[in-house]
Amino acid sequence: MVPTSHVLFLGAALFCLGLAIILTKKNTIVVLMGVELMLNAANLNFIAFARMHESLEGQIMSLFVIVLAAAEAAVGLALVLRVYQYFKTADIDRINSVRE
Amino acid sequence: MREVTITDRLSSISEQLPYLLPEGLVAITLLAVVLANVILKGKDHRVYGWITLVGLLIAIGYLCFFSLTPPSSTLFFGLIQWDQHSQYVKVIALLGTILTTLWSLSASNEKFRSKGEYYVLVLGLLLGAMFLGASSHLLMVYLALETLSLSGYLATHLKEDKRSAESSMKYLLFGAVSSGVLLYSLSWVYGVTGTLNPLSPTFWSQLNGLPLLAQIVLGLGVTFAIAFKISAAPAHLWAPDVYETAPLPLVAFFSVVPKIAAATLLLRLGLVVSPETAPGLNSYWGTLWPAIIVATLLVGNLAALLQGKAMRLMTYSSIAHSGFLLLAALAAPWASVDAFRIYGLVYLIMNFAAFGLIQQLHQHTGTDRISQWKGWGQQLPYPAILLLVVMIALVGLPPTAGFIAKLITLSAVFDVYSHTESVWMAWAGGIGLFSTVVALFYYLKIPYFLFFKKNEIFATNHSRISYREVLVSVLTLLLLIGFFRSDLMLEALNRLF
Repeated sequence: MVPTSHVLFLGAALFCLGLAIILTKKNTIVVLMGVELMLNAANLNFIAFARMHESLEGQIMSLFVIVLAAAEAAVGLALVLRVYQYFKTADIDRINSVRE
Repeated sequence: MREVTITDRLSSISEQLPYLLPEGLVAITLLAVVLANVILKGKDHRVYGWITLVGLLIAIGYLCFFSLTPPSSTLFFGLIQWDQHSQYVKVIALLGTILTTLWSLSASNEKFRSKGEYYVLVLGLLLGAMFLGASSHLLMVYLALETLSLSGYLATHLKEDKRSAESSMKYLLFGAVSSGVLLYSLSWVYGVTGTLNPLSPTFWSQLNGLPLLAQIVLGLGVTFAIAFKISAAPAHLWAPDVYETAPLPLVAFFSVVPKIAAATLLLRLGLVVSPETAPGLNSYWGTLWPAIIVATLLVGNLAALLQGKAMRLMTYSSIAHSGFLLLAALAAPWASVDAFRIYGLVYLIMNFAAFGLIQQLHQHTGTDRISQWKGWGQQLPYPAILLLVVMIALVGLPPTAGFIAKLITLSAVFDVYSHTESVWMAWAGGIGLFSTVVALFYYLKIPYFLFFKKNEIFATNHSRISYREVLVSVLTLLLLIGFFRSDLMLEALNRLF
């Protein structure tokens, strides 16, 4: 059986990758992909800990997270589409009209 | 021990369902609006608003007069807590939504008011707030926060213009990152404690055993997400853009209901973190939150000083007020919960009144730049005088209920200080007092321009009395009544819960 710590390292690596993508990338869709990585890092952790504690709570939590991540991605992509219609770009730095 | 079978679980769920009837009624109303939208083939119609209003009135009537009390305060295997705090949040959230709906129905020439999805999203926000205030399990907290956020992102874009698309996009990105950080921190909390139920006895003692650095990192991760919802200082950056571009009735809703729900969550957790269960964590709790409150109060008030537009000013004012709400919620476990309740109720009333009046002046004058409002006090005496009263209430001066709310909150903070002698609490209270003085300058700027500056040229734009005007007058009257008969207000709150 894979030891819990291995899974935790994988989760930590995924989380850091996601965070790095969010901080460095300018394209909105790529940023949403980074968020997805962070959520999946949390999912891995939940499942690993659920196995360690021999309780189902963590697995249930990760099921809910998967569903909500899908909802969030749907809303996010819909909004990216609208933004693209108005600005003709998905680059965060160039989407700037609210400031006076 | 007897094995718990699936049948037992299912029957206990069906036994406990009646206690969720208010939420159920809201959900049914939401589905009814969706159904009406399908029947009318997605055409714009005012019937959606009326369906929403009727559903909400039934829900609040049921909640206030026929609500059942469950035998134990923990429902659904510890997912939901049924107590006076959860009842309070439900009533406040329903009141806020009813005001939003009434206002939306009366909003003239606004596209969103007859759109079905507008009311669906408002009801979605309401459901999220109701569950957030009642959740006692981290899974439930996450679900409620996401319900609030997802409805919020979409609702921001309801005006369907360029600027609202941009601000809702930014809101979504900020919110998605914060929920990612929240979940990752929660997964570690689960790993350390073996449970996601913060009310279980082992939860805090296990967390307390962690090294200090780990406590700080986990605490910051979780705190950040709650602070985001409440637009508290380090995570308030989304608020100004969203408030400026979302439909106005919804902005008033945003600035009150989710904040009160999230502050209730803080209150509920604060009741569990006591010096006995978690001594190390307790001092940490007593440092982190006052620090956030101090930052929120300072950022909100000082930024409000610099604003020239009424809407922007109200945005920062609502950030400053969320600092006060948090202060009342933080003090509640040691002092009494009355301060939090009164502050929440009064804040709801005065914020809706202020946003309503500002919109009215905006419509009459054609601008929301405060310096352009000079001299309009003579032209529009009635709304201008109402606005003066509401601004005095927002500062927290007599003779309005705003004074009572601030007084009772600061005295609760002083109580906590005299019990615990926490330096941080003293700082938070002191900054609260100081920020009231600062608030005097920026709130009274509006009446100052209205009454004391002269202006000759008027482009009069008279309109008939809408029932939004009546709504705002009633709210302002309530603020005055709340000062002279504050005992009535307290009694009503105590009788309900």
